[in-house]
Amino acid sequence: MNRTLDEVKCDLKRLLAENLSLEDVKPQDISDDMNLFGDGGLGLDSLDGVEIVVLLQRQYGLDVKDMQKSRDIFRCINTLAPYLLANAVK
Amino acid sequence: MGAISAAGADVPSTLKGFAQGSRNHCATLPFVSNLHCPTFQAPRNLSCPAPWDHSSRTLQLAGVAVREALADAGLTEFHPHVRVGVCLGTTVASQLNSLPFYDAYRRMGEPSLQPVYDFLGANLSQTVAERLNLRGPRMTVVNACSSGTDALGIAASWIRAGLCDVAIAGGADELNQVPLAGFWSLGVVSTRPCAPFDGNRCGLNLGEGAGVVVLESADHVQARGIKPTIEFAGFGAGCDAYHITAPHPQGRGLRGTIQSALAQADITPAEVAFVNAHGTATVDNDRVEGTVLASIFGNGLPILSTKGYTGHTLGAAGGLEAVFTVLGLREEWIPGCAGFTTQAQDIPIAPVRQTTQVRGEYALSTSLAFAGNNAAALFRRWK
Amino acid sequence: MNFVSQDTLPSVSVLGFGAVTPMGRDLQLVASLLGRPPAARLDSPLRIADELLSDTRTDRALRRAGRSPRMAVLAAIDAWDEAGLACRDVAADRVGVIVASGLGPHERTFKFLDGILDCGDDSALPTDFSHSVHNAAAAYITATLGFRGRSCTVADFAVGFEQAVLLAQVWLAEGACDRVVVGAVEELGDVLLHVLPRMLASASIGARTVPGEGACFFTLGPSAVAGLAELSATARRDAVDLFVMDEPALPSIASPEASPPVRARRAVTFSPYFGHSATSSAFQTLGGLLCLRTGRVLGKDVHSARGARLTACIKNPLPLGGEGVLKHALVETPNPTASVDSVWVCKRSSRNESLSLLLTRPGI
Repeated sequence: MNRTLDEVKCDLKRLLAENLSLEDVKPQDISDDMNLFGDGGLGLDSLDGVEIVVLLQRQYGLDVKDMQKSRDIFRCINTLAPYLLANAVK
Repeated sequence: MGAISAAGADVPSTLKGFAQGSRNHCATLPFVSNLHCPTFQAPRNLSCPAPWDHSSRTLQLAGVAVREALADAGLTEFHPHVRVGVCLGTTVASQLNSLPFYDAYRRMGEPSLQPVYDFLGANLSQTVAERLNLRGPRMTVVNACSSGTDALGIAASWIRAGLCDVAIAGGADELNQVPLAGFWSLGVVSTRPCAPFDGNRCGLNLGEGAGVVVLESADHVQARGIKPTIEFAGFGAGCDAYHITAPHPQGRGLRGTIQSALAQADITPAEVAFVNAHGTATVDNDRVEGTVLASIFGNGLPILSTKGYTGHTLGAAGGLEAVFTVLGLREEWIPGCAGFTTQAQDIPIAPVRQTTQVRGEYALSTSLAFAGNNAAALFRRWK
Repeated sequence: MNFVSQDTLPSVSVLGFGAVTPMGRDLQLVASLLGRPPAARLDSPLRIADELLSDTRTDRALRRAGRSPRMAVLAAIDAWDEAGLACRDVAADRVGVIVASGLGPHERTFKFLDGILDCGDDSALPTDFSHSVHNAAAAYITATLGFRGRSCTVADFAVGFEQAVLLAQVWLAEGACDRVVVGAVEELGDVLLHVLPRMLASASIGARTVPGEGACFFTLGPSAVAGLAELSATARRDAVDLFVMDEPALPSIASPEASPPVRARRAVTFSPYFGHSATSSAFQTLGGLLCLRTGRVLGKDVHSARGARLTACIKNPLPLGGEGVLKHALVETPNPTASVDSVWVCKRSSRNESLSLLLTRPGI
């Protein structure tokens, strides 16, 4: 993938804001270290989680075998972006 | 009773298959797909004499099980005054999801409407009632994975309320590309044969089939001069009211549901000889269900877990599992759980691993649905 | 557990009702519009405006939901709110929910199919799938309102709402629930709108059918709890004040046992206001309730000629017992402005003899 880490972070924030029916959340509202799941952050749930998995697979060819084991990777943009940069196929 | 699934084309073959512990999963799908996963398929060629030769496979499967159940009950004809209800659960047959139709619509805008007409003519309970010329209440229940069990509860309520004398109850669902893609997208489909309650379980396999029981009022049974052997003794149902896909982590809906069913029969958990668990082999379901069952019945409860033989048959599951539960009570043995090898760390209980004798008066079947419906059906064997 | 028989299956009390209709959610406004003639020419389907699907109380919880669950939740909330004190102290696990729908959330199903066709079986979207199941509306009602009793989603193309009311009567009579929120929801998605004209053109009823969508919900309780009206799918009367007919009815088979003729002073339909759908008898019931509440006959007259007989059309005679005829007789009274105390919601012909709905003012 021919993107910088910062560009990937922007791409991810846009992907989340545009695809998860989060009312009134713009990409710039998602800070890099904001918890994506659970209370006290973006407030995503398990269904959002599997949705993100499919979206990443479609867009980047990313194959996330086991979402449960990957909880740490999906904690926030700061943890997800490097993983995506390292493992994206497209 | 009538049953058709990958486990057997009828009840006697199913029993034989259980005794041998044979698993009949299939590596190839009956439709073109880029998915690769085992599924549990019923026989391809079904015997569907007119008027049962419907275009919908779900209706064909239902027809096979309904006819077996009626023959088994000795009810091939009904007196004109007898009211017979039909309460069947399904998921696929309730949805307008024809891929060829929609593909043609997207491409050309004026597709053949035949799939839509076929769909409108395929309401499960309505079609079965019409085929048999029945007079009585009917309902097609679409409660996701607990549909079949819910249908039994509703049919029993109808009989007690005097709305009918007899009821045909259970469920049917065919293997279909759309729900397969759907469950795949949720990350809950296993690419290996499923392992219910197992420590290494990683998801479900879809299956297809139909399971039907014939319920009768005490008066109707007496009028026929028949001595009944199995009673529908109790039923409970309730919602988690928690999430559209995930079960409540502590299984609060299931707990109340099981307790309701036992309370209806006025029995204690100790009187239940075994439980047919829903056991889909997903990480979440089996953990929640196993934990609740252990807390109510104790770790020593014999668990009959049959989705290793049938796959998850969605709307048919509750109907098939009612049949399997009754078989266990009647035959006094239950098969081992196909696919189970290792105790799970996160589940305090395990299904029986081999053919196990069970003797007792009562057995329970539990179902947990997507979107939080829970249902439990209690059966009693009369001495 | 109470065992009851059909002869004594009690009617239930309507404690509240709510709806999302093409005329909005404000049922006082809807009632006044139902008192005026419908638009002279209705050649387009009656759709619900998107603004009506939004409510600050539910937007967050329903952020991913399609139109069917949104309409159903809002109508159910209105029905529960209106019941007010009659439901305040009822335990969550004693409230049941029954939702009837013919086509379910088909719009979301097609969106899921888009994913399959565009990206493959292994790349369709899980949110679309989980929201395309027939029981999505019921799932959202129970989760949003916190109801933990029994829940049932009914699929039928003609009498789903009637089946749902009958089941609610059974649950309340046997003590399985203390309250049941019952309703129907249908949506008119783009695909359906596209194919409907062709389907209706080839059906005998096509010319008079205006497709509609919306949700209509009723909070029901045992008849001992005082409510706005009594409702029953099993009660029978020789005469009622008003027929409300779910016009135009789909051709169907009548019961072999002809019901004895039922007389009414007038017959109306609410189809020109709400449109017709697989479960539009829920809207006819809503119209009937508004007649009881306002004490006036609302809706569009079906027939008012003196002594006219309406005979159901039997398309397919039944093999057993031959043809049956469901008869209604319309008898004009000398005092046509007398108040409405009883309403029979019916179809021109019925597949099942027990599936019409009787609404009566309490105490009648």
